Amino acid sequence: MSDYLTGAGHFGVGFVIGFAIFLLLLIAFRKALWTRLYGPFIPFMLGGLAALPYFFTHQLMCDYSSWVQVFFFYPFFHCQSLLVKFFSNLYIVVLVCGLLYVLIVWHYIRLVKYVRRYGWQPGIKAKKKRRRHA
Amino acid sequence: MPEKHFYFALGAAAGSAVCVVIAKQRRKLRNTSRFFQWLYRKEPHWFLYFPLIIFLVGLWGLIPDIIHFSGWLSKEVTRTHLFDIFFFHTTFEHIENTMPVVDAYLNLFGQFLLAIICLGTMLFYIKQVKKAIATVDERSRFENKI
Repeated sequence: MSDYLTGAGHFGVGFVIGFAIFLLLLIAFRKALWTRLYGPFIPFMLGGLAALPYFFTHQLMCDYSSWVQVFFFYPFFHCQSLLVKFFSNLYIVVLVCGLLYVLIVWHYIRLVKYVRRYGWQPGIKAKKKRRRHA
Repeated sequence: MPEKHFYFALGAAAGSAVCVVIAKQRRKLRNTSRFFQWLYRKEPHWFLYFPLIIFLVGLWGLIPDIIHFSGWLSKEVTRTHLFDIFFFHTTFEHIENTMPVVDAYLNLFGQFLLAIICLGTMLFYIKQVKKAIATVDERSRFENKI
C-alpha cells in the first residue's frame, strides 16, 4: 500500500465531499428544483478537480508549491494518513463511488416519477401506493 | 493490463447502445410482446431503471477477471481465445504485453468512456424532468381553460 493518495484516491475524496455538499444543498434549498437537477454534478466536478493534477504529473510527492491547493487542496489531502488508509485501496474507492452513484440515480428516478405525477410542486409529498388486499 | 474499468466501460457502452434500441422500440414492443405488456402493467416507469441494464452488460466484461480471482480457472486459461467473447479480453491482454503505450491510452479511454456514460445518464434524467414539467404545465393550462 502506498503512503500517499493516488489519482483515484483524490477523486474518491472529492466525490465523497462533493456528495456531502449536495446533501447539504438539498436540505438548505429544499424547494429549489435546480439543487435536485444539477446538485448531483457537484461530486463529479469536485472529484475531477481533485484528481486533475494527477492527470498531468502522475505521482506528485509532498513538496509542491502552494498554488496546487487550488485543485481541491491536493497537497493537503495527498499525505493525510487517515485518508491514505481508506482511499489508497482502489476497490474501496470504486465501491464507495459506485454506491454513491447508485444513490444519485435513485434520487433522479424518484424525482422523475414525482414530477410526472404532480409537476414541480415542492410542498406536496408523494403518496405511498396502497396495497390492495383481496 | 487494461484495467478492469476499461472492460467495464466497454460493456457499459454496449449496454447503453442496447438501452437506446429498447428506448426507440419500446412502444412497438408494448403492442407485440407479452413481457413488455406485463412490464408496463407492473411499473409504467420501468424504463427509468435502464442503468441496471448498463451495469449488467458491463459486468459481462468482468467475468474473466471474476473467474480468475475466484480461483476457478488459472490466468493461462482465461487468456485463451474463447475468452474473446468477453469484450475481446484475450486480445486486449495481448496488447498489454506487447504495446504498453497503447495499453495506457486504452485505460485513459476507458476512464473517459465511463465518465461520459455516467454524466450522460444524469443528463437523460434531467431531460425527462424538464419534459415532465412541461407536460404537466400544459395539462394544467388546458384544464384551466376548460
